[in-house]
Amino acid sequence: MHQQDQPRATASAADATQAVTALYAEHALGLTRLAFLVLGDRFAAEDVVQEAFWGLYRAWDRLPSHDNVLGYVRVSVLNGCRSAIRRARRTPRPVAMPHAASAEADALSGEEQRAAVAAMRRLPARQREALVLRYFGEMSEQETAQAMGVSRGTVKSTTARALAALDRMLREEQ
Amino acid sequence: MNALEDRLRTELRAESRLIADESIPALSLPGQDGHRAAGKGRRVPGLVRRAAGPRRWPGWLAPLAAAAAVVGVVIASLAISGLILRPAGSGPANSSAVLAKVPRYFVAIPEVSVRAVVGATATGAVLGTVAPPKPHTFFAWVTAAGDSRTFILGTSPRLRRGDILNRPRPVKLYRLVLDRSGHPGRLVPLPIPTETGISGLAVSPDGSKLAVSFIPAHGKTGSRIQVFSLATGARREWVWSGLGTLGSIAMPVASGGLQWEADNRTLMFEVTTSTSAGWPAQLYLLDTTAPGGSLLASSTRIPVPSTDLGWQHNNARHRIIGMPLITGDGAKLVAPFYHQTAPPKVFGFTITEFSVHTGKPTRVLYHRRAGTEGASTAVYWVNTHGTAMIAVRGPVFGVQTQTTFTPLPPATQRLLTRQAPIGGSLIRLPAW
Repeated sequence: MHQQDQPRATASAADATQAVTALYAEHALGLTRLAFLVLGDRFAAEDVVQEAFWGLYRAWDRLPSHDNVLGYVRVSVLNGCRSAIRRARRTPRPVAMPHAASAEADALSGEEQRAAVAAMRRLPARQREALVLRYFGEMSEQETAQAMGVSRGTVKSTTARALAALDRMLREEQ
Repeated sequence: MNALEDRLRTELRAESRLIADESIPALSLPGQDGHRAAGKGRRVPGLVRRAAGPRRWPGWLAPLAAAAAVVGVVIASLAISGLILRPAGSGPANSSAVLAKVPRYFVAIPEVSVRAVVGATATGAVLGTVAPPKPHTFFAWVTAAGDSRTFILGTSPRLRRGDILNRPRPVKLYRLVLDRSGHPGRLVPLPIPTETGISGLAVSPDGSKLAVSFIPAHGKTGSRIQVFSLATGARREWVWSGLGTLGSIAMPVASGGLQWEADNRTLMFEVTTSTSAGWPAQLYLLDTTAPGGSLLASSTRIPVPSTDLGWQHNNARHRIIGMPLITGDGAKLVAPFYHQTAPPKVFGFTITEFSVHTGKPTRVLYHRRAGTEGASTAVYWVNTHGTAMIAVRGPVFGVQTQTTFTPLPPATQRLLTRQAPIGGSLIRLPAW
């Protein structure tokens, strides 16, 4: 997820397919996981990432530089997540599923019951993005700001508010 | 706050591992096999969403991808709607009486983890879990016999990224029998060789036979159905000689597009063809006591219009979404049915009965109109005469009768679905 991880994607437009495919092979997993953490839906996440790489492919010839295509895709993924969330807002909210009845069922579903992640998913989308980029992507405030298209100060304040809200929610659940 | 940050890091990493490397679908661009047209024919957001990962329903069937996308709304969008939907004038019947109409136990194969879960329908109690025998690492198929205790499961190895779109994977078949309390025994290998290219399987109600459909070899025609004796492994084979693929409309049923009638003799299957308009499908009944050979010659067609089934490029306004189920008596089909109006769009989702004899709708058991696709429906199991079925309405699994809908207990729902910020998804695919 770091800038230095991105491949030297300097291929010409004629090599777009090869370059995009190679980039996908290297970063699809990380970006899908990132989108999944923001969206909470693996298939929506896969769709968003695929669309982002398609967007990169279509835009390949128009990009002024191919030095930061990973950054370009990352921004596309976040934009795709926002679009998916906007679409979902037009639908009723999902029904709340109560906790499983048995201890065994609880244990089985434990992988889906991470309290901090569950609480994070109740945060506003921007706060969720900031937390995922900072604490899953391990991105700096500056990198997060670039990915989110906001200032570094906004990242700082958004992250602080998100953590405070998260802390409050987790305390209330105890 | 550092402790919280550390906890968040840890949990995010753990949560992210629900997305496995092997499950990432291949990227298909122009110039590569199976690419989609750039910017055209794109999916309708939400409606044409994939139902499940390519791991279980690989993308090597073009029509399957489309059909999967269509039916995706049925199962992958399970929790979009926030309502427990009941038609006006009906309400839940006595819960225990209604739940007595459906199988007591189910086996659900997981999407993101390894072990299949054996659950009690009426309580959601987990009665046991089963891991796929090595070297295979996940369950690809599950089908249930009529006694609610005999299940056939198929296991497969994981494939490398990029294989998903191109290579059918081998499937090894096992029988799982539950004891009287519903607890699972051991997986027993069936006397059937490991097969590749399976597109559906269904065990007969009496548990004596297993029907398996196969896709044609790459670039060829000739989809096949084989029926195995589970006692001896003896098999009989029928071949669909023309164009067409069997098992394309597999979902949401975990066994794919094959279903037995209660006579343990008649098998329903669907054939999907690729046309310029999309992938229309047709339903047939195969007499499995007939000699092997031509599938067409040994079958009779159910006269449901092909354009009502399958997937059309023009997003046809009326169609069956998903594989219809046939009642044990062979008289009815029950199917989730979808229609939409011209913009401004209103989506209608129903659970509809069709006559096998005429292919026409005979009764609407449930109908919901909505401004979104979130009120979708699906049918997972139906009894002999179609008087009770296990269905999904919007986000809720429940027992649908002719007049009522009784949600399954929250614990059962929870074993099958998972909440998410933008909706929910099916985490385990059940077979009853």
